[in-house]
Amino acid sequence: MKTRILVVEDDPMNAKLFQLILARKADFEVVVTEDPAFVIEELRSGRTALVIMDVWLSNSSYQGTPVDGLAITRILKNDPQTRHVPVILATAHAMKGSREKFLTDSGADDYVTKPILSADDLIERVRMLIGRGSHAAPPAAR
Amino acid sequence: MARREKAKKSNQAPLPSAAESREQLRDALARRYAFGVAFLMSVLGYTAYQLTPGEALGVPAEVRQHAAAAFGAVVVASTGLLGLLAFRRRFSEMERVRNLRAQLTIYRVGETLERLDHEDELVRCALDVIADGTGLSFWAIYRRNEKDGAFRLTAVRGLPDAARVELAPDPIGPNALSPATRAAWLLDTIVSRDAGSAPGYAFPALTAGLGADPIVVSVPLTDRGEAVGVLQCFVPRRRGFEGDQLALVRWTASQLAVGLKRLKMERRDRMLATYLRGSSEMVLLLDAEGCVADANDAAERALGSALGTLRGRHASEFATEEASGRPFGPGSLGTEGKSAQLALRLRAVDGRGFPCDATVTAIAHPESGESACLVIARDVTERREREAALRANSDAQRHLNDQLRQANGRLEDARTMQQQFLANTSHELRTPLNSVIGFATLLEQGVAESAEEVRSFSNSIRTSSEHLLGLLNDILDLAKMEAGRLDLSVERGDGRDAVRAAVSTVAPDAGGKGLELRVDLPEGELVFRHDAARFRQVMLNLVGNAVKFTDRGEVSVRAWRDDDRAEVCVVVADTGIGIPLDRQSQLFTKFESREGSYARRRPGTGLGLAISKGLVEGMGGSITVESEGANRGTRVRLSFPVEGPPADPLVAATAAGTQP
Repeated sequence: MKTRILVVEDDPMNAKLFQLILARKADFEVVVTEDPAFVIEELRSGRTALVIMDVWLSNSSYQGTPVDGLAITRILKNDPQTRHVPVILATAHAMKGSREKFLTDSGADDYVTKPILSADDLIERVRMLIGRGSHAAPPAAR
Repeated sequence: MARREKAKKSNQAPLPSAAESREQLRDALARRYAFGVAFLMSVLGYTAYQLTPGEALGVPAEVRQHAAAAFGAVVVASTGLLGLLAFRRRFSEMERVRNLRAQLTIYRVGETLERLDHEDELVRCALDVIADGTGLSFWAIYRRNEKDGAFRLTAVRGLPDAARVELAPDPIGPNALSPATRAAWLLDTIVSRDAGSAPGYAFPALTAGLGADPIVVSVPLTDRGEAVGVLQCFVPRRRGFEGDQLALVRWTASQLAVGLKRLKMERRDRMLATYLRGSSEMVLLLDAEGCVADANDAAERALGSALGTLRGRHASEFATEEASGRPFGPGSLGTEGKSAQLALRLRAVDGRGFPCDATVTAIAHPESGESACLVIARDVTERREREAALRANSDAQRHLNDQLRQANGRLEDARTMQQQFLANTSHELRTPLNSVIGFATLLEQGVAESAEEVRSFSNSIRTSSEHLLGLLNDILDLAKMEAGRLDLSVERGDGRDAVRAAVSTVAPDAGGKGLELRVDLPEGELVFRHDAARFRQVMLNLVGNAVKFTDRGEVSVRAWRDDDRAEVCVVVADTGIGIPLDRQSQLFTKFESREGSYARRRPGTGLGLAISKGLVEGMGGSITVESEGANRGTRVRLSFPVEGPPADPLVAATAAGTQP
C-alpha cells in the first residue's frame, strides 16, 4: 500500500502541481483538500503519513470560524492522536522572518517556500520526515 | 548738649525753679520767727516786772502776788497757744512746700519725658529731675536686653559709672537674685530695707559711697503689662525712706515707661514710614470717601503726573476692579483690620492701564482716627505677560507634540502598510510563479504521460502567466497612481459603450453561475468627462467583482444623468456576499478583497478596487461602496460631475434614432 500524503491547498493549480510531483515522481498516494475537519479526521484514522499545509487558506473554516494553515497545524499538534504526523508548511510568503515565525506559531516540522524550485528536494524532505516521524512521538510509542 | 541746655532754658520761663521755691520757703519761715521774738519779749517783760520791788509801786503784796500769778498764767497760756499755732503753721507750710516740690517734680518729669526724643538723654534727664525733686541722689536704670531678655544696667546717677561692668546680667525668672530683676519678674515695686532681703546679691562697687546696707527701691517700668526696664533708687540708711517718696518714685517710673514706649513707637513709625516711602509697591491711604490721603513715591510715580499730585484725587479716577470692571472705592470693607486681596486695573495719568494685585485693608486714619483704607498694590504686567507667554508656549508645544505624534503615527502606519503591500505582492506573484515553474519542470522532466497532459500542463503555465501579467499591470498602475504619473486622456464622451462592453465580457460567467444580469442605460448619450479605456477597465472590474462575489440572484448596472446634482451616476449592484460592516472602511486598501483574504477561487489580484478608486478620482469622479452587511449584497456607486445644460432632447432623440 502506498504511503498517503495529505495536501491542504486552496489554489487548484498548486494543488495539482503537488499531486503530480509527489505521485508521479515519488509514488505517494496524494489526497488534496482544504477542509480542516476532513484533515483532522483523516489524521486520526492513522492512514496519513505526512501533511503539506498551505498557510493562506481563503475558503477554509473550522467549527464556524475561518482558519488558516497555521491554525489547522496548531489543532493537529495539540491533539495527542494527530501530533505525531509530520507537517510541512508550504507558503508563498517569503519575507524575512516568516519561516521562524510560522514554525514557532504552528509547531510544524518543516517549511518550504513557493515557488518550489526543486521537486526532488521536496521529495527528499518528505521522505526524511516520514522516516524520522514528527518530533512529537506517536501515541503508541508512549 | 547744647540742645539740652537750650531746651532747659526755654522751659524755665513759665515755671518757678527750685531756687525760687526755696525763697518762698525762707519767707514762710521768717514769718514764723516773728512770733518767736514776740514770745521771748513777753517773757523778758514779765521777768523784769517780778524783779522790781513791790513797795516802789505801792501795791499790797497780796494783790501783787495774785496779779503776778494771773499775768504769768495768761502769758504762759498765750505763749503756749502762740507756739502751738506757730508750730502747726510751720508744719503745714512744710507740707505745702513738699507738695509743691512733688508737683514740680511731676510736672518736670512729664515735660522732660515728652520733649526729649533720644532714649539716653531721656533717661538721664529723668534721673536729674527726679533726684532734684525728691532729694534722693543715687539712681540706676536697667533695661531689658532684647536678645537674651536679661536686665542690664544702662544708666546711673550719683553712683560710680564703672560699676556697670560689675553687674552680671541676671536672668529673669522666679530665681532672679537682684532686686531689679525680681521687681521686673513680679511686675511690682520692691523696697529692700536690709541686706537680707536680697541674699547673695550685693552692690559693693555700686553702693560703695552709701554706707552700710542702703535701702534699695526697685520699680519696674512696664509697657503693656511687660517689664521693659527697672528704675532703682539707693537711699543711705541714715536718711530713711518715706511713703510719699515711694509714691513719687513710682509715679516717675510710670512716666519714664510711657516716655520709653513713646520713643519706641516713634522709632517704629519712622521705620515704617521709611519703608513705605521707599517701597517699590504702591501704597495709598484712602480716606472714608475714597480720596487719596497719602501715597508713597512708587504710587505717585506710577499714577500721578508729578510727585504729590495724587493727593486728593478719588480712587475711582484711576482704579477699577478687574473682576467686575467697576470703579474701585473703599466701599464697605467692614471692621478695622479686615483686609482683602483684589485684582485691580490702575490707570496712569497718561492713560496707560496696567493690572495690579492689591491688598486692601481697613484701618483707622493715623491722624483723624476716622475709618480709612490702605491699598498696597503691585504691578503684575510683567508676570501676566510671562504667564501668557508660558501658556502660549506650552499650548504651541502641546500642539506641535500632537502633530508630531500624529505624523509619526501616520508614518508608522504608512510603513506598516508598505511592508504589508510588499509581503502581499511577493505572495501574490509567487503563487502563479509556482505553477509556471512547477509545470515547466514537470514538462521538462517528462512527467506528462500523454499529449493531453502536455497540453494541460502548457495551459496551466499559460493561465498562470496571464494572471502574473495582470498582476504586474495592476501593480504598475498603482505605482503610477502613487507617483502621480497616471496618464489619463480625459475627454467628454459617451460612457454607455464602456458599460456595455464590461457587461458583455462578464455575461458568460454570469450565465454559467445562473445569475440574472440587468443593464439599465439611458436612451440618449451619457456624456461626461472620462478616459474611455480606463473607464472600461473600472467597469469591468466592478461588474466582474459583482459576478464573482454573487452566487445567487442578480447583478444590475444602471447609469443615468442626475440633473439636480449635475452628475452622471453609475451604480453596480449585486445580491452577493456583501461586505461585513466592520470591513467596509478597508475596502479600498490594496490586496483587500471582499472576503478579507485572497479569493483565489474567485480569481483576482485584490488590487482592483484600489485601482478603480484611483482611476475614478483621477477622472474627477468619486466612488462609494455600500453594503448592508455580510450576505446582504453590495452597491458600488460612481459619480462624475457634469457641466453645461441638461441633456439636449434633440441630441438624445438623434442618439435614440441611431440605436438599432
